Amino acid sequence: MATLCKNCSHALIYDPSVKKMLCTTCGSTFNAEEVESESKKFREDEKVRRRDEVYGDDTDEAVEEYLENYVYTCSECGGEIVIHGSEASTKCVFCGNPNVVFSRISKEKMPEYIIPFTVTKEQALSAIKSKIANSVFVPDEIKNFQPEDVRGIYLPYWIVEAYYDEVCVISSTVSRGKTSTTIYSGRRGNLHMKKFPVDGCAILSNESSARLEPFNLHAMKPFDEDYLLGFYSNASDINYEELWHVPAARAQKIFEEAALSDVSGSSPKLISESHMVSVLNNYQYAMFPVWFVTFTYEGKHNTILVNGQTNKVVCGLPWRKPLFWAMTIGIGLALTFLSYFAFEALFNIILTAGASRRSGSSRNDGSSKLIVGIAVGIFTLFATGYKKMKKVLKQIELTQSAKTFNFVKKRQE
Amino acid sequence: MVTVIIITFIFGLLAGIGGVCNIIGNMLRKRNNFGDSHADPHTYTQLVTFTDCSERMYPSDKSTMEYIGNHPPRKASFPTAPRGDAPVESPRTRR
Repeated sequence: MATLCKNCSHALIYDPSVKKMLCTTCGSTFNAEEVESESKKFREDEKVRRRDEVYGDDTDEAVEEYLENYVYTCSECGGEIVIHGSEASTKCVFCGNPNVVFSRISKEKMPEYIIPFTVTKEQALSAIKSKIANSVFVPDEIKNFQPEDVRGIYLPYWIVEAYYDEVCVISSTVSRGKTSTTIYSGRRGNLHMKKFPVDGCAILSNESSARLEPFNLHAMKPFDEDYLLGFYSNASDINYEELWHVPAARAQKIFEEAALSDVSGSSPKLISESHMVSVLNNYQYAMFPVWFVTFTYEGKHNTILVNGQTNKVVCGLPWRKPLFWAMTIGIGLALTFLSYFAFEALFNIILTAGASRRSGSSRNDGSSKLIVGIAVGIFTLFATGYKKMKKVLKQIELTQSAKTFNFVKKRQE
Repeated sequence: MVTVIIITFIFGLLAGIGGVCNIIGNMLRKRNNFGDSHADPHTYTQLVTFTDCSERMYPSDKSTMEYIGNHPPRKASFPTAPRGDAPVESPRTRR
C-alpha cells in the first residue's frame, strides 16, 4: 500500500525532520492522520504466502530455505516482494514504493500505539560519528567508516504492567572493634512496574533492546500505518513466556539491588530468595523506532543501533590492538615498578617494627591484617578492571552478532 | 631477605596488573562502549516497598527457610496475562 500525495499522486513517506508525511516529488507535507490510501480497504485482507507455496518447490531443502520467506504483491506495480521473518513493511524492489504488508498489521495483531521517528538518518549517522570521533582506541577505519546499510526499522514492543513480590535473606558483615560478625537480615517487599516495554522481536536480543532504553512513552501516538511508510517494520513474534520472563528478570534485579543497599553492614550478599511475578492482562502493543547502521571491519559485520526517538547510540567497538598492547605493557611496567618500591618501603617498615617486638603481640596481628588487606585490595583492583573489560567485550559481541546483522540485511532495498 | 624480595615483587606485579586492568578497562568503557546502560528504574514508575524487615536473624539454614516460609511472596489479585508457548496476540480489532 502506498499512500499517495493529494497534489501529484506520488507515494508519500514519513519524514522525521518535519514529523509529517512528505511527498519527495512536489514537496507537499500532510499530517499522517489526514491522508488515507484508497486501496487500503481493498488490500486489507490480502495474505502473504509462503515462498515454496508460490514457486511450488516442495523439496525438503527448499521448504527449509523458504520457511522464513514469504511472497507479497506490491499494491502499486504488482511486483512480487519477498519478505523475511515477521516483516510488516518494506520497499518494493521494482518500483521503490514503500509498502505495508497488511496481513501482518491485521485485525488480530494491529498495534495500538506508535512512536514515530524523530531522528533522521543524517542525525543518527552524525551522532555515531561524533561519539567515536575523539576516541583514542577506536581504529581509524572505523572512525571513517562507510555504512553499508542504514535502515530505520520499527520494532514491535509490548507495554506491560507487572507486580513483583519477593522475600529474601541477606548476609552482611558488621565490625565491632577488632572482631567482625556475619549477620542475617530478612527483607520482604514488592515492586510495581507500570508501562514497562518488552521487545516483541524474537531475533533481536533482549540485552540489545534494553540498552536502547529509555523511550519516552508520553510521545506515543495512536497507531497509523502511514507512519511506517519509508521505513521497515516487524510484527511481534514472541510467545507469552517472554512477556513474563523479561519484566520478571528486570524486577528481580531492581528489588535485590534495593534490598542489598537497605541492610546494615558491609559486603551484603543474597543467600536465599523466593519470588512471584504477575503480568497483568492489560498489555498493549506498540512500535518503537530504531536506526540500524551496518558496516564491516576486518571481515566482521558490525551493527550500530540508534534510538530513533532519543538518538542514543548503542554499540561496542573493537580497539586498535598495537596501541592497546603498547599502553597496557607501558602502564603495567610503570605501575609494577612504582608498586614494587612502595611495597619494599612498606615491608621494610613492618619488618623493622616487628624485629623490636615480642612475638605473638597484637602488633604482629596488625601487620598481618595490613598485608592481607593489601592483598585483598590488589585482588579487588584486578577484579573490577577485568569486569570492566568484560563489559566492553560483551557489548562488542552484541554489536557483531550475526543474528542482528541478518535481521537488518535481509530486507528489500 | 630473598623471600621478602620475592614477595615484594609478586605484590608489585599483581598491583601493576590490577592497576593497568582498571585503567585500561575504564578507558575502553568510556571510549569504545556506548549505550551500555538500561533505563533508570524510576523511568517506568517502579517503586520498591518493603513490607517486612527482620534484622540480625539467627544464622542457620532452618531460620532462613523459616523466614521465607513465614513470609511467602504473594501473587497480585488482578487478571493476568496468559502463559505458555502460544504467540502473543492482541484480541483487539481494527478500528
